[in-house]
Amino acid sequence: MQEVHEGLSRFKVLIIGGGAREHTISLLLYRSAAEPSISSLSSSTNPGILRLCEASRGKCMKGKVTDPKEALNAAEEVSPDLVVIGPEEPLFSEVSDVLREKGFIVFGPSSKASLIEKDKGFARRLMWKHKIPGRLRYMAFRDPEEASEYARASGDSVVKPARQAGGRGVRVFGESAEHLSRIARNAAAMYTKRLAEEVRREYSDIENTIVVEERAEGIEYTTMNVTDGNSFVALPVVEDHPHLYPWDLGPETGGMGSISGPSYMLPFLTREEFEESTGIVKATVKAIYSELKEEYVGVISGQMMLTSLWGPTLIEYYARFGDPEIGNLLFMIESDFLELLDLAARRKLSSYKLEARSDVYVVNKAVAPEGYPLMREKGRGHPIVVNEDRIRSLGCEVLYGGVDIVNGRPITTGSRALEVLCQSEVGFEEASRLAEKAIAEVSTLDGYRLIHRWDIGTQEHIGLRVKKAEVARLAYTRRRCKGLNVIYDWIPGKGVMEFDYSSDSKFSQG
Amino acid sequence: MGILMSFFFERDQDAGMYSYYGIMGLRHRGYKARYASLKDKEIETGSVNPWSESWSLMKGHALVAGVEPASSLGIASANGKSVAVASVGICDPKKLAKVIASREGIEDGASDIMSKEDIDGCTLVGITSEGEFLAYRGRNSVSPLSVGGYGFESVYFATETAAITLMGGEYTHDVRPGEAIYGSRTFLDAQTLKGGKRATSLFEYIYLARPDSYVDGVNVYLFRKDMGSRIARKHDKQIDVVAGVPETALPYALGYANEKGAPLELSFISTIGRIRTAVAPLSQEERMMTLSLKLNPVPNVFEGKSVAIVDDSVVTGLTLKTTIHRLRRAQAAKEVYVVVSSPKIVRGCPYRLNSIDPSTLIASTLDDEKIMRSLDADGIVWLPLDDAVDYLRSFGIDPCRRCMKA
Repeated sequence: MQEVHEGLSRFKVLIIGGGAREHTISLLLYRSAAEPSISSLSSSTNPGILRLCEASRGKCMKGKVTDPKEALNAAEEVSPDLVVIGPEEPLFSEVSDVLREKGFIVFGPSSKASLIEKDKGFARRLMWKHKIPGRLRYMAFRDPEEASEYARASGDSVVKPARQAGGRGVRVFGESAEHLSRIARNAAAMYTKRLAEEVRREYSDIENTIVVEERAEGIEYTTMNVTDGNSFVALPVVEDHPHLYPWDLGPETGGMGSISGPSYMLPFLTREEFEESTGIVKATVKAIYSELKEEYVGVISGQMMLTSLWGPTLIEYYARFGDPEIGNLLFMIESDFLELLDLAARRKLSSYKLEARSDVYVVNKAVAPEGYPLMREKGRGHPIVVNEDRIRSLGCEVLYGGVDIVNGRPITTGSRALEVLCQSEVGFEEASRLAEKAIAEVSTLDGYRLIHRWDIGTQEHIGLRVKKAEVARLAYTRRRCKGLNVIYDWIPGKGVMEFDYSSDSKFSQG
Repeated sequence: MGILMSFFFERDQDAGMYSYYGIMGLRHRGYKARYASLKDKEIETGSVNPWSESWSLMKGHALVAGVEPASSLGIASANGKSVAVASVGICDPKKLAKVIASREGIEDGASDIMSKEDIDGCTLVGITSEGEFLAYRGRNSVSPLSVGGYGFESVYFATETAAITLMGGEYTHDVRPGEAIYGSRTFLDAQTLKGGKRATSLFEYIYLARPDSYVDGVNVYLFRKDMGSRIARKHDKQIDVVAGVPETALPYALGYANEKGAPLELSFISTIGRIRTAVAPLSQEERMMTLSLKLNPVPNVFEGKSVAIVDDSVVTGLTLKTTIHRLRRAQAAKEVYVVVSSPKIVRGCPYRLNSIDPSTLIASTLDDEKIMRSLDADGIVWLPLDDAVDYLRSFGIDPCRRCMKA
């Protein structure tokens, strides 16, 4: 009798998505005082989520997460008190809309509000129209030829698919010096055309194909904010590491690891910069409302950069928790995460107070099969072995990502396979060392090479960031003190072009 | 001497076009560069004179180069795989290339290279036709190697960082003695042998490197300025005006003048741009002609004054002798003191990093008195070797100074 009663009263969560982000969310929710049962819908079987489903008597379902019908079936089967949508693609394909229509409580923005991530041109346009600080010059294009010509003419640019494409396709054509400009511009023009044609072929749900932006240089960090549209809860800032190789070398990835702490801050960020960054995100949520009449319910993450021109500058928005960034929160958040997501989804966030640990340094390192990200096929299908007991004995945690259970065995999918999360009360250096020890407990049965970045969290690496941030800070504070917020480009024979970066007075900082 | 590697991750970028500027950034070290370029699975070699009017490099997505003299390039094949290596120090790049080619993967190639004691004194970069790369600084190698990246596009290695920044890159690491860094477009790994000595060549800091470079983590310009002021502190002569012999000596002259509180004057104007006469393959007569064109004195700067002429290194003393002679003849300086921004160079380099012939070194044959008389100077002062060594030790470097004397 008692068991039945328990089953009835237990809070039920359905998590959509099956990567390391969703594994982390499951772990955060699992430890809630409400002792929820956790169910999941995902296209592969994540060993970590599967375990939590089993332990909490939830259901682990396999299905296409971007199909609203399949999501609805899963929700109807579980009848959850809360649905949490992890990745961005289900948001774009109206999964949140359909579930809400049917009366489910959903954490995750509507498909319209998720345009802030899906449509890079929309995000930039919104920021310029509402004079939100931290913006970059951009142009959006439909026609591949036109985009290509612009990329050639503008120089020192970043070329992106206009539609969010799993972080793929973004390339930076830096002209750190003018003597390289012709080479960089030619390469940018050629690539832009190719990418535009690719985007056209692959996506029919967006008008533009390409966004070309001015290139920003500086230190990157991520600010994640949970909101119900009116109230905001800023989470601790996390620094991601986009390069594949140590010493910030190599191709761009979705992130090879992240550091955070202690408390909300990072060693290279000031309190003002932190607040300014969350201010930018808040202003954007307000702008989304005034533009689309849509309350933003979920998390909005700003991939930020501290630049020498403008200080905190927005590189890109995510309508989801950053991955690997959310991993760090597992060791940082003390308050009830289920309560946070549930209150946001019910639009009652105003009373919530987040407690974050102020005494811990967290290092999260991703482990990927060789081939990620440029030759993913190579990295697919390798059986992986993780000695979780040994890793936990180091005080670390494993977050599963690109691992699928096939015939009862964990197999790599070609993406980042897992993250190893470690903590220290002494400093990043120790947490990083622990992570190295933990990663030594991960291997493949067929001896296939796994890669990770050993430099994340080391003093050598953080020291470089701190120095770079100081240089950027001196430069942007000088501009601000002098009230310089217009960029003048004088083109001989054509005249002066003016770009006014000034912000709406309501955002102006002291 | 100097080596360079550029390795691009995507085939649509041409390493040759970027490396052009990298080789420009190393050309003060020599008059000729040999290089190898990887395109698809083919490695081809070429040779350029980076001082000539127009030159270019073959297209490809990866490239290694060595600047001659004292660096060289070798290529070898085995198992249907070709490898090109550029190296500095006493080692044969062709043999190194053979060792790497005979192993299946670059990781094993790296291990083999590291296990050979006879290349402990060597620094090298290499690429393979399989699209792999390797960089190694031997445990006792006095020749530095820095690493940087150009956005998400490429990884660069070079003897000094100006070559990296000129290719658009950002410098992020120095290869440690005993450290091998190797990889491809899908992985990068590193191994370090124990017992490495950071005995980076003092000659790099004193003379070889550009002042806009870091060498093994040390800012060359600041080193030279500091050395200039240290010489001034120990030079108890009344100086009215300071002149630096362009280009290398200028940062020293600046530091010296600041410390002395005497003005630094632009005293020599070049008619032929910035040519490093010391590295150019010239006959003695041609060298003197070039020097005279490079150092045309500005009139009326020194008349009746006590002058300190700062020169980068006194090898044969011929440059200085000509310069002093001219000053005395045309401007009647009161006193001329020679400030040498280098300790005494008395031997050739045992690692053959420079091609100085010991028998032509003035400091190895004459004492200060005789040098002074030979140069027709009123005094001569040298950079105290201990000061240079102390400075670098504070950065964890115990520099090689086997060609110098305190």
